Amino acid sequence: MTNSSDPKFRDAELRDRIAGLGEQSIRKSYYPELQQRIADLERYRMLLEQSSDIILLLSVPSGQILECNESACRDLGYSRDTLCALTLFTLMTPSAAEHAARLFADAQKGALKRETFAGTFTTAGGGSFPIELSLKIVNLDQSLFAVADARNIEERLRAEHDLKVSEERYRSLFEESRDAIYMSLPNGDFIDINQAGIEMLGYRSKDEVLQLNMERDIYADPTARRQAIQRLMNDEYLKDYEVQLRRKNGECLDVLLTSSMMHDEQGCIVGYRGIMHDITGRKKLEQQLLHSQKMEAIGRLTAGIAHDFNNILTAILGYATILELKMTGEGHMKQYVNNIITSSERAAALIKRLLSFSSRRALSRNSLDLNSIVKATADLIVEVIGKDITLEILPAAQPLIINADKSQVEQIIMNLVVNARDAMPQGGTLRIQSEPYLLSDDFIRQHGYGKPGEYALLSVADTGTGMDSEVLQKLFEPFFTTKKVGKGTGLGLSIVYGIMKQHDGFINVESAPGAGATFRLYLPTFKLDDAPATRQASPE
Amino acid sequence: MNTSFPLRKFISPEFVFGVGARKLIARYVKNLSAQKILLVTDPGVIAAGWAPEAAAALEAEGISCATFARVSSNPRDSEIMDGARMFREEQCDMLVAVGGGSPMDCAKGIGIVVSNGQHILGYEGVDRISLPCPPLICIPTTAGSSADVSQFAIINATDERRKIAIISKSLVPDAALIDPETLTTLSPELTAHTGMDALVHAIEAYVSTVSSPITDLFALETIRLIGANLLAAAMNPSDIELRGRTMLASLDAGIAFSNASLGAVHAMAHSLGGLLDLPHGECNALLLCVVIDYNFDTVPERYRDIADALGIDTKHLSDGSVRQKLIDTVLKLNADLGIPDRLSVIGVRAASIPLLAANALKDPCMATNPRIPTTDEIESLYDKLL
Repeated sequence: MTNSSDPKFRDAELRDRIAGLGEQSIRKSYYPELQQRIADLERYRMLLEQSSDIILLLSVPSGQILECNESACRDLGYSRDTLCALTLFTLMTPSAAEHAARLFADAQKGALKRETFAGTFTTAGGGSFPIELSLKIVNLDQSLFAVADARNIEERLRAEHDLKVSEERYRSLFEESRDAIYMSLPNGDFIDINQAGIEMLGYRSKDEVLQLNMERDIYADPTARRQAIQRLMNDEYLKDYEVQLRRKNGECLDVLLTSSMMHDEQGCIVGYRGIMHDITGRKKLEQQLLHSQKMEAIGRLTAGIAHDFNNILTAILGYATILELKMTGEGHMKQYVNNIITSSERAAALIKRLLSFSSRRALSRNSLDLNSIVKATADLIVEVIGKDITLEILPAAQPLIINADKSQVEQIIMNLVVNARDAMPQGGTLRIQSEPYLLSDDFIRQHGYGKPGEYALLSVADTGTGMDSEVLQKLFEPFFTTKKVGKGTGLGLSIVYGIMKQHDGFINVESAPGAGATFRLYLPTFKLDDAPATRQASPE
Repeated sequence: MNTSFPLRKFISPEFVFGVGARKLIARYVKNLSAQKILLVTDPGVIAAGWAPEAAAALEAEGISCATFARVSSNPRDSEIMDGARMFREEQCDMLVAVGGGSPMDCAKGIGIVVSNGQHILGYEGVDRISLPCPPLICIPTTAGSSADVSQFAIINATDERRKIAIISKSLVPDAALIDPETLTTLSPELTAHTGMDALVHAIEAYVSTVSSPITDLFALETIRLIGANLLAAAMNPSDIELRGRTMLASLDAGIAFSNASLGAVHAMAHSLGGLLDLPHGECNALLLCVVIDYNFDTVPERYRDIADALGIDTKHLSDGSVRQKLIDTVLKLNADLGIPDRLSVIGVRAASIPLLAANALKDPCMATNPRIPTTDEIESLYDKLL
């Protein structure tokens, strides 16, 4: 109230109010507000009753159920009255009940918390279902209550489980595939790759691969990736598209790529999925097969011709000999006949060599020590190569017993030595080495041929002019020669090839122009009873 | 504005007047659908048996009852807060007050706090109650305060040593059961104090600046009834006829002042009661003469009507004579009733006067006094009575 000296104290407004004429001077009624509150309550009741969650009002700390909604009665299988005679704890598994009891005890100490945890509700019929329970402690008029909101999560758990199983299924499909499976960004950065992919590319870990860019680090030819993507864009997918990749150690890898694009919701390309099937071994095998078939065909042809030629030569030589016997005295005629005989004999020798290429010659095989053959031929080799070439002979420390025709093996060595000499007109070093070799699956994978086992490896290496890949391709074909006309027959290496084949061995060459050449010959070894059992297979 | 008929409002609760009215309590409570009652009373009323009787009547009808009786003769703010706490703790839904002005004002205060929530002192003034209070039924056991029909509640703010007035239509009880029989246990002293209170209510309502023709009827009837019956009733406590008339006078006075408000006597009496915790009726009786003297010249014709109602023949008297005769009549009535004529007798000291005057000027009752007083004037009025 204001002081009486203030004229406002006396103003009409205050008098009006005292006389009951102020704006607020009207008797109040509860009715409209009650009606409003009842309407509010009805709406709230609808909110509770129509909720599919189980909602309970609990007394704290007893856990006594004071109120419940329709879902609670329906899902738990109790009437409202029965449910309101129970406690929350009786509905729950012991561990979850303990959790709730602890929360209630904390609430009594003043910690009004909300907590959500998983548990199980038991129904009146003895069944149960998993729930996610939210408990919120509230203080109403100095009394503690808890509002419990329980949601049946059976469906959710099942869906999560199904998803997990499905995820695991696809994950194992991904991880256990023998083919490389990867995902990459449009720029070529890896998003993911499976174990087979990591191994295929020759890396140790996924982390290592995920640092890489396909275009920069994986494609042997970076433009090939762009071509592949172009093709993918045109056809929507790529199937068995052949590309060449580079392994970590630099080796080339041939793969068949099957790829598709990954799009976002707007349809933009966000990456690529791909499956890569390694066909390196298969390609080598195919090439090898092609080569063997070719050599086989040539061999048959050669053998056929040689056989017929031999018959013809036999007739020529026979009649020439008869002719010589019938001739008396010396003279030109006799000289001519002699020339026929000599030429026929040379032709017969040539045919003999052709036959040894085509493996049609009978072998006289014995158990031999490769080392001793190498040592035995040393003198002859020195004579053949001349003074400008240094010879190094490195026989293995232990005997290398092979089952072979000694003269054939000697011929192999001599043929290779002659070629080596011709490749080193300015001189150089010729190194002949014999060593044990354990031929593994890796070798077969790498070369496309071979048979696992213990071998004697004979290498003949020169420091000569070397050969390009074109020459290497045709090296063992008969009558292929790089020498001047009249200098070589083109049969030397084809004979080597034929002999090796006849001895169940393999031969390969490593050479590049200017880098010399190394011929490696693998001949199967076998143990003699008296041979040292400790012979070790040294790795490559 | 039409000065003959300014806007006026009239509000009155439902009331039942007559011998045995108090016995209707259970019926009324049931009609209001209450389940648990807070019965507000005081030790004197319990001793007289009226509160236990009401409680028993309620219990007999299956309505449980909590009793709150820690009420002083000038109800204190702390008592109201205690009562409100009890109302909540006992989960009551309705108030029944049995007693004089103190329990009834206390019950009104409890109602305010229960539904509006704040401390009671926050509702001082006019029309400050925004939410309706719980139902309230009053059974008055004195004939004077008229709290059972009024929109007033006077609360003692003990820390500030002053009385605050709360005026709101929300404070008009839902029903008053007014039974003259309850007065039969009233002491002569309280009969005198409360009776004079009723007289002052009527006189102040009649001279109020917001009086109306309707309130005038009730005011003048009160003055006639008190003038004719109060002394006799005080001397014959068990005469139910006389008691009935004073009870009727109190009802009429309540209806009058609840609508027309009061004046300087009440403003000054509230100030005294707040500072010194003096009986309200006695203070009113003591202050009445000096205020008549002060106000008379502002509304002489109104005081002439009052003098007439008190049985003074004013027909041939000058205003000055009417004033004197009126004051003499009141003084004689006070003297006959044993009410002292000096404030010093009841313990008021001169040093208190400035604070008393300041508080009186802040009282809303002062707003409707016919003459606008200054602080000095109020101080001199107190001073005259020392």
